Amino acid sequence: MSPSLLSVAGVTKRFGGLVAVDDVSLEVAPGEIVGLIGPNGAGKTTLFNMMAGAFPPDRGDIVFDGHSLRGRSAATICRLGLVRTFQIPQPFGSMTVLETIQTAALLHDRSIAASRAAALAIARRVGLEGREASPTPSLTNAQKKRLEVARALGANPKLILLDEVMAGLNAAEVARMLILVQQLRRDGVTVVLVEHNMEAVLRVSDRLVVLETGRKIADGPPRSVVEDPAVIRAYLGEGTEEDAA
Amino acid sequence: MNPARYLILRPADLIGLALAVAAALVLPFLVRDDYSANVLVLILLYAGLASSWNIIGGLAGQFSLGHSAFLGIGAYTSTLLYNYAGISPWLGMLAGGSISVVLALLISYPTFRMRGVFFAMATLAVGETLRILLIYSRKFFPLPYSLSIDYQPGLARMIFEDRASYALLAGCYLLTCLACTFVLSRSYTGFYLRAIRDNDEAADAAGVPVRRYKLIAFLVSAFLTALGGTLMAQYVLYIEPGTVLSIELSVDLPLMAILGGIGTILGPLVGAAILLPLRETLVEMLGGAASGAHLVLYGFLLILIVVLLPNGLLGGLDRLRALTRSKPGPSADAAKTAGVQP
Repeated sequence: MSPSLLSVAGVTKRFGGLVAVDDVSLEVAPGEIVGLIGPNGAGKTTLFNMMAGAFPPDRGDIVFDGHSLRGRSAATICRLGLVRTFQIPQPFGSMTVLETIQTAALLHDRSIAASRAAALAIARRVGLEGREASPTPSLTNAQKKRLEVARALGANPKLILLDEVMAGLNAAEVARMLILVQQLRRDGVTVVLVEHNMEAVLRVSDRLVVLETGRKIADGPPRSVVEDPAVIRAYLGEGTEEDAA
Repeated sequence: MNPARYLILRPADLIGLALAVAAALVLPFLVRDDYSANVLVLILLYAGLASSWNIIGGLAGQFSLGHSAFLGIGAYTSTLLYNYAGISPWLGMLAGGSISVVLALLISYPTFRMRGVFFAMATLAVGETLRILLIYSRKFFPLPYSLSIDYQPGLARMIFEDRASYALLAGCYLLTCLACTFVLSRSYTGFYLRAIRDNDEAADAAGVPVRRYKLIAFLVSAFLTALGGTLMAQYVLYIEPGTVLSIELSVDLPLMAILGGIGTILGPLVGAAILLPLRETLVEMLGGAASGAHLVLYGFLLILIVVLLPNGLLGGLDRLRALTRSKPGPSADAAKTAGVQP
């Protein structure tokens, strides 16, 4: 097995009495597309937020590219090459599409012309060409999701964390987004995606990690994971009182 | 190293530069009568102060209501050093700026955790606390309530016989503030500050060191505001907590910036150029009629302007330009999509 780019080791996070993420470990190898799935409340978003540095785990450690993320802000994690998108797009409201991407691209080159050129190339890459001068509030939801990916790409990441980029998109838009995700891998970017859209995540992922009530219950190739009885039980339930416990 | 690589330069900047230089360095030689010259000094000085506020309040979007603290520190530091130690205000000005920077750094720790109106309230408290502490400290120090500076004209003492010299000094101060604003807003820092203003969480995720750049804006703003405080003391030759530390100042600076166009480079100058003559005229017209009558009309006019031009005068100009430009041809597409928005 190749050395992992992202390594989550025994991570636990509590909110008051609720154990949102319970002793989860997982590895992501360079060049992989890993889907993180699970029913509502499984702890996907909590784990995702810890990987992106939004808050630290109570126990365990997350190591990216040889650096522990403990005590690092989202901005410094971004500099290491681990960048996230937001489930609900968070565009910079006073900026145009190009300026938004340029803001992230300035991370590596503070020259206006160079960051602009990089931002133009990324706008084309994610399919926002022709909208470069549009103010971000005028974009459609699908375009805002693409802009999230574009801004993340502006920081030139090694690994991109996609938070439900397919949510709320129609079939045609999902298809375009899937092409974009596969394109990212071809460009050498490793992808971890949290996704509710099972069909989409099965089509694009090399590997699935399944969480249920904070624990990891499955980790493997998509086809074998979806046939795993534990996963089926987590999604469909058993219809017994045990679930309530 | 070519600065144009690191700055966004636009053709219209030449017009802005010409306007600013005309106001700051040419008008002082043209205005002759005493009344107008006084108004000119005040406009240039307040424009500089409002520009300083605009760096943290407009560019970085952190609405400070405590800038009287920095202004007061500037005025008091240079005046105390001059009156009690004979140190030239030119040096005292830098000392006041440095102390302001230290205060800004200290208050950044508790206040930068707060957003929006909470940051405004916290900074308001800082300004007011400083004023009250200064008054209260007279119980322990033999400090008079007010400080006067002896009228002894001289360049080294920063005291001048004619108002034109003061106008020129204030003009240089304004140009310094505008230059700082220009560089901060048109280089990569401009992108970072706008990102922080728009959405600090997303800025953080996009690799913007949010705290560092908010702090840079705050420190520059505090330093420049303190310089203006010294200038104000040298012009009036009299300071007291009720003037240079008044809450009115903390409100006036944002008011001017908002009126002219918050976050724009020349907005604060435009705002000061409208607000101060308006206030002077109203005081003159109505000041004798009934106490406070001018304030009623003043308030009414401010509300009217803010309702009609929510983005300030320069913001209104921008919108007008966008409207006239979008009618024919190329950007009709953008206008169409904008029109679809509810």
